[in-house]
Amino acid sequence: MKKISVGIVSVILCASTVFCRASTSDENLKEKIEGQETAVLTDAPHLPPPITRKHATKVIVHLEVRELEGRLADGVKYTFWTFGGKVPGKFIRIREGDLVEFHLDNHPDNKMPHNIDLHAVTGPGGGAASSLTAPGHSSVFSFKALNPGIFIYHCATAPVAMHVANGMYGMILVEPKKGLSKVDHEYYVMQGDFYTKGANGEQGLQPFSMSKAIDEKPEYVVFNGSAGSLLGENALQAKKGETIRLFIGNGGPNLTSSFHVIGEIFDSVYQEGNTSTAVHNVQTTMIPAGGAAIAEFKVNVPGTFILVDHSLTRAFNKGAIGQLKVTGDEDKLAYSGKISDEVYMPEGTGIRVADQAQSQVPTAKNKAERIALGETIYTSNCIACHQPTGVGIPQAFPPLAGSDFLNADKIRAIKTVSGGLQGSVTVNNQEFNGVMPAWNLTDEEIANVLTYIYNNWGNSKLEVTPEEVNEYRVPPSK
Amino acid sequence: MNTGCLQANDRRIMNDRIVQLLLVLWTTASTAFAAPVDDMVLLPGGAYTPLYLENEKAVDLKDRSTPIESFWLDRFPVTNRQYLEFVTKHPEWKRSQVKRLFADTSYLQHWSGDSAIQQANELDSPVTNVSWFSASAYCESRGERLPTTDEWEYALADNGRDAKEIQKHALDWYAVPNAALPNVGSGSANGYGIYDLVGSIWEWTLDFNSFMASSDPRDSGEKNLFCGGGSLNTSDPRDYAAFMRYSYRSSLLGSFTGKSLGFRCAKDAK
Repeated sequence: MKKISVGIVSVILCASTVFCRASTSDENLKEKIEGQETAVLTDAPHLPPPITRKHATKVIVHLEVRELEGRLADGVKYTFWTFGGKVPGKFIRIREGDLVEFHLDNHPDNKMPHNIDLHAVTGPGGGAASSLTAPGHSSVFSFKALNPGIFIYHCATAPVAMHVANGMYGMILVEPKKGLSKVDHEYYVMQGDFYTKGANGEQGLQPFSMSKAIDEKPEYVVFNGSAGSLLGENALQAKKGETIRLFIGNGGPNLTSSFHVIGEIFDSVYQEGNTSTAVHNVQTTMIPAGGAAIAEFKVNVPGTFILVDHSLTRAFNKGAIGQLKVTGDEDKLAYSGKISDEVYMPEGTGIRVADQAQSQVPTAKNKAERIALGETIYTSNCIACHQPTGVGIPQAFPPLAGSDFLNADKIRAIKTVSGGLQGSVTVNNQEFNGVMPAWNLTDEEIANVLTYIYNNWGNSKLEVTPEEVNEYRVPPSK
Repeated sequence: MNTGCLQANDRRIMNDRIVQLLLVLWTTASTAFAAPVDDMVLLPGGAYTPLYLENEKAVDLKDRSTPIESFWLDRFPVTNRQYLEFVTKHPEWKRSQVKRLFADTSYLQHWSGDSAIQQANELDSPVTNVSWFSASAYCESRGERLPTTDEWEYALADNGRDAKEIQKHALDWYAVPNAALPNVGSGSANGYGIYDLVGSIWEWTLDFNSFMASSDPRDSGEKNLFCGGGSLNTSDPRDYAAFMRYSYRSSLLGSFTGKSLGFRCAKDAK
């Protein structure tokens, strides 16, 4: 009676406080087994449903090893060795304290002997020592799930690296007794590196390259067994506002993954596959070969989010890329989308140093001289955009010929040449939205070029003097 | 003596003439078509370096070189045709009569009956789905025995000829799923004139389970040759193909049979 009441008290405390204490492995070893069930196994990216049992039970797992040809990338085939017919292997979901009766079935069509090392097993070889199985045979062993967590499993038959490199890995979740929090989606993603004789993209059935494996130089690094396994129609799916839990494993055999989802921040990451302590607000989490992690996040913004190994040539050259598609209405506050795109002109550096026609700059003595000297400046500096006859270029550069914008305001013209102009202007009923740089010209030069412009192409025949420029201009830099 | 290559071609041509498909009961007349029972090659004595040492020899790691006495080895794996003849003479090894202790339930399962092979074109392909006990009995019926693992590996090592090619051939075989077996002798002979050691089937050896390859090759326990991922203290941790053979053998028991597991016989030189 006393024991029971203590249990009830601890459950009550557990609900809201830090007094919640996880079971020790000794307690899990002793936990009574009630009933029996056959494990539901799933292929990536899906998981079996959460465990709702409140007691430990006997779980029977049948895992069949198949060696079969499959797609590694477009036009590239590979003979995968699999736990359950696909890479990664079937997802196994049990509860802390469960007794697992494990059947490893090696299909008679297979050539190789295989075994299994489950990182969730406490015992020699993680089960490998008890499960070496010839083709056409089946081995049985059992274990008690002593520690909760997300664990990977893999084949451990010599040469281990080759068995793993051919795809022999998967994941087993040992749920803690209190279960995992409720989320809208759980997904199973596992990275692996592949060593093909042919270079990346070389078509046809590619044999395993022992030398590339030993040198740790994979041709492919992929999620869920093939390039593109999580792209397009196969992308992970969610709706805006939903919560997602990713179980991310890394089969290796060699590379450590810098796992990242572009455009998301993981609200919580349970590193190293533990289920008790999360770290928060994580950008990229490291998944070692032979390890796993749980990443949880809420998707607040619709769009396509890219799963990558942030060791980026693996993502962009070797296949380690996937998609999470989030549907829903846009939230401009959370993310605006592109608001504008303008030419960037750093302060100072954007000013054009006008070509100096001569070191000795002549001074105009009258309007005619001013027009003549102005033509030289126009030809050197303005003609490329505004064209020889001042007609400009539609949609790009406004006309100077018969320009209402020019003729309406001489002072504005002085400021435009000396200080530049950016943004929308309407000239002769046409809108232009471009940039004119500031010109590093003297008062005399600006007066001359403007006078040239005003006295050509049907403009107002004004004269602009150096004194006017000096009064109204934007001061030159330096 | 004919070269193995001609032998293989001869037998293929003869094979085309065989029309009986089902319930082919082979009598003494059929031996005229079969490969000569004593088509063996005498291998010279020598030494080679095994990947793993036998248990009792696993003492001195400095000198791994293992001496091999001269011995005879079958040029080809034993074929379905030869094995059919054997069970006809020794009915206790027929599928229906074999003791379960000596062969598991998959014994000769690719045959269509006790004394029949489904497909005539399988007659000259290697016999598979045979146990160690049945393979041993076959060799004994010829006054021979299975080769030891050292002898078998010594024959494959081929005195160091084309080592890389042999390894590649084996690895390439692993890289394709099981398919119909080709006739024996379809490949090319090695330097000793022996065919099909790798690239077609696995083969039983006399002492298949007496090596250090444990069921978990990364075992670092009491067997002191094994640690660090099962590769330290092997003669060549880069030879994945050899690892695979030792692993395969160590996954077997004497009664096991396999779809790609056959054998050939050997005998002492004297």
